[in-house]
Amino acid sequence: MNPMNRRNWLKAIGALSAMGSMGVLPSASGENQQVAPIGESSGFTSSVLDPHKVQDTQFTARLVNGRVIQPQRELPLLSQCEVLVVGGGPAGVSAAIAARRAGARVTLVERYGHFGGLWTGGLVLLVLGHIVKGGKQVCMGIGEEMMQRLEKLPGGIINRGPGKNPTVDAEALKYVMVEMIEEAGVEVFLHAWGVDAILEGNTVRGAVFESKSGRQAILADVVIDATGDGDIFAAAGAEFEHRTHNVGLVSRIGNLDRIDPSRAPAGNRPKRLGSPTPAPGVNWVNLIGPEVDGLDVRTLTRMEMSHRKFIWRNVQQARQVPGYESLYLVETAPQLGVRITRVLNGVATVRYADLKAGRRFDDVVAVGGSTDGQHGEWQVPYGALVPKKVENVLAAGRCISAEMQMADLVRLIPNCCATGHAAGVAAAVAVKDRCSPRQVEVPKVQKILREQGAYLG
Amino acid sequence: MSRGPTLAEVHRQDNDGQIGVSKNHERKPSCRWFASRTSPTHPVSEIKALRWIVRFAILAGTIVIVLAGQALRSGLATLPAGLSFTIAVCKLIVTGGLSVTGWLALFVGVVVAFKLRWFCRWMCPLGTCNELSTWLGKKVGLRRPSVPHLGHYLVFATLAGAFAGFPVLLWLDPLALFSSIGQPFSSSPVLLAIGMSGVLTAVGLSFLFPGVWCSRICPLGGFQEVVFVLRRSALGLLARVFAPRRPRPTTTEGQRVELSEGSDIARIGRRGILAAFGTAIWVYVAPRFSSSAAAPLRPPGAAPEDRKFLALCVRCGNCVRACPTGIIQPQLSTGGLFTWLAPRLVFTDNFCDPSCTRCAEACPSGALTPFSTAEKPHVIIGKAVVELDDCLLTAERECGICRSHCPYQAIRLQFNEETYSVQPIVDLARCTGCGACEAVCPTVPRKAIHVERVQTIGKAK
Repeated sequence: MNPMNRRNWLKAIGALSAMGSMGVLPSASGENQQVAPIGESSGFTSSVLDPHKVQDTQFTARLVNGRVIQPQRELPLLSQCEVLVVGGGPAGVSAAIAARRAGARVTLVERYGHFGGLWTGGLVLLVLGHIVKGGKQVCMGIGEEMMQRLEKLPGGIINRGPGKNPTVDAEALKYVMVEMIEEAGVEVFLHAWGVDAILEGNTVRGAVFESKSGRQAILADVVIDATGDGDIFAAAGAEFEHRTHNVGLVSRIGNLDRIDPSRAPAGNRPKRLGSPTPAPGVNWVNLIGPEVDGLDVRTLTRMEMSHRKFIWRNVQQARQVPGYESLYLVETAPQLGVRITRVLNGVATVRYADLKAGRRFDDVVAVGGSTDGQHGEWQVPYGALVPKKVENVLAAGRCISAEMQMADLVRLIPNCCATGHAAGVAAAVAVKDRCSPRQVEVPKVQKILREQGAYLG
Repeated sequence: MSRGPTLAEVHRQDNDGQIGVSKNHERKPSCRWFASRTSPTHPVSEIKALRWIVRFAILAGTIVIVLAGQALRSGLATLPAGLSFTIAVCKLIVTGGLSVTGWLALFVGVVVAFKLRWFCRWMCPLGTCNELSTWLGKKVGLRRPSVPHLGHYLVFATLAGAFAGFPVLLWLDPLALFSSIGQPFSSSPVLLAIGMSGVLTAVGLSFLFPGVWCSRICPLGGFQEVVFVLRRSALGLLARVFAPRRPRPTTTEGQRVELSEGSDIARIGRRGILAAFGTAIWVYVAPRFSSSAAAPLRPPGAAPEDRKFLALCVRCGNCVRACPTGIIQPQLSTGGLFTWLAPRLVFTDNFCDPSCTRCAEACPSGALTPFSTAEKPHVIIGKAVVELDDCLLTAERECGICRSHCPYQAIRLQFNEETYSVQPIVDLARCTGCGACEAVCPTVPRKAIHVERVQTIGKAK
């Protein structure tokens, strides 16, 4: 017998939930209960790893005739909730907070050890895409709340103001996000990587995660895919478009306040010195990088190594220039700058023609802006978050349904916050109304979004 | 065989400001051509009333079509300028093809060969305006001085030019002038004034020198007379060949007619040779003073050689009105007087839709060669050129918008291992110069990617 069988981990779950802020086990969806009869009689046993004991290798992958086979196994349940948000970037964090504030019990799972995704871990510190022609800011709601909180922190944000694109401090933002998540009362799992969807028919019932605790499942009424890569909706069989884009790596360099450009020979001043951040004398330096497939592990590895080499050498080169000797590399971003990979084929699509025409949607759930106020606002219809066929999953962030021309706007941070906010509220309404997110009453979602400070045009 | 008045007679009558001969039957009842109009079954006053009703209806209809602009998407939009017989003939000579409207115009040409200036009297919207202003001019006592028959020279010069590919003065066509009044309605008052200038000039001249435009200057009127005289002479010749024994007219009047027929054809022939000679010199000399390098981008389907395009373009504004994205604008600033109102492409915030074929379909003169949607990827407006110094990617700023907006996938962002940076590379084989990249390029004040004429690129490199 496995050291921790199904009965044991069900108990563990109970204890875990009791310890959690929610207290009560979920009872909203009857389907969640039906795990009970499978059990030992079906031949499945839990494969949860007990890190402190010698493993029963019954479920370990095996080499069979030269092929690697993973034995069929039952997964232990890590948690159970109403709204499961996979991915803790700007979209995921916004979604989790929004859904919790709208009254749902929320679990947020993030693959790294911090919140903010590329905004913090990718050092994409410049906030672009929330202002429109004339300087008006259109991305409000939870993303704006984060920036308002950053304003109150010393060194949290610079260049804040009407019509401006501010730059944030990654650490301050990570702190703000922890604060907001805790205040909202969201259950969180960090260091857990969403790797699979849990399906019943074509309805998503949760997601599977890999972590140091092994492969575990979280059951949920609605899953929000804020992975950026659409990992969950793709695993659930939703239609998507696989795109390539430039993959770069941001870095920060320091001592910019101690350089002396006047000593540098004319025409030989170092380039790529980036733009100021809230940290004094520290600039963030963007890197566009080659256009590659951000879903290919070999490519990602190659990019990480190549970019890191270049960044180091580039800074060393800059230090050779008279006046720039004190320059140094503060850090390269913990996360590689993957811009676009999978994009959902949704019920509706964010289209460039609609931006040009200034089209307004009855089912608008988010409004996006421009990078430099070149054009007006554009609306995200609710359908852009909803897959064509699969039920109970919503996309949020850069992987929502958008044309190639719009993907470069959709992926910008304020817009990710806005679509995340929308997905969170919609999921909460779906849970409350006991319907699929597809059938959600959008006016209800819009009402709550507005109450939560979102701007919907 | 119908035998009408001589041109001399017609022009004498025009001195009174009437186009054609509507009133003069009273003075020359013996002339058969007039007599046919005075038959008891068609009382003149009734015909006259009907004619004015028809003319005002056509005038109103034309104004509606011209001002409707893009709201009107049917073939009707091409009618005002497309119905010009001169434009249709020149288009046929230069391009070898005609649209439905063009064939209608040729039909008009056949009618006017038998009914002198029938088009002027019944249809021409500019003619209607001119006749009113002529009437007003005469009311205040103005009289027309003696003016040579410029219309004949103009039409011969244009036709001769057409054979060389450069129908030089085609834009003086009254229907083209009239069409251009609605051309710039979307833009500035300056454009409006210039668009109206053709019609205002014609109407003004008709007031100051009553009847001068229609009878002396109008190339379409001149062409109608030429066609009429040629038809009559040709039929006369045929009659003599096949019925040589037919008794020749013996009355003085008849003899005079006969003589005048001969002198008409001689006069017109002389004007034709003079005009053609002048045009030949122009076609030879003009290239020395023009360069298509400085020319702006023209709508899709335009002749690569800008001189040829400018010669074929009648400035009717049909393409400007037909364009759904508003990128075709009448040219004003550069190139001097002879490029005024010629359509040029402006990609500041829109581009040439890959599925759209409207401008070339709306072109009555052959300046734009029509193409199908399937052919559009091969209709070259120009080529996109990248200015790396201005490109945001060079500064490692988030962009690449030109790549995602290119409808022909002609732009790729090439990564350079040496510089470790990315730059847009235009695949010239795929690029049509549609301007999608230029329209979305965010750099100011200069766009880092813009479309240039193919010739210019060739010269620059």
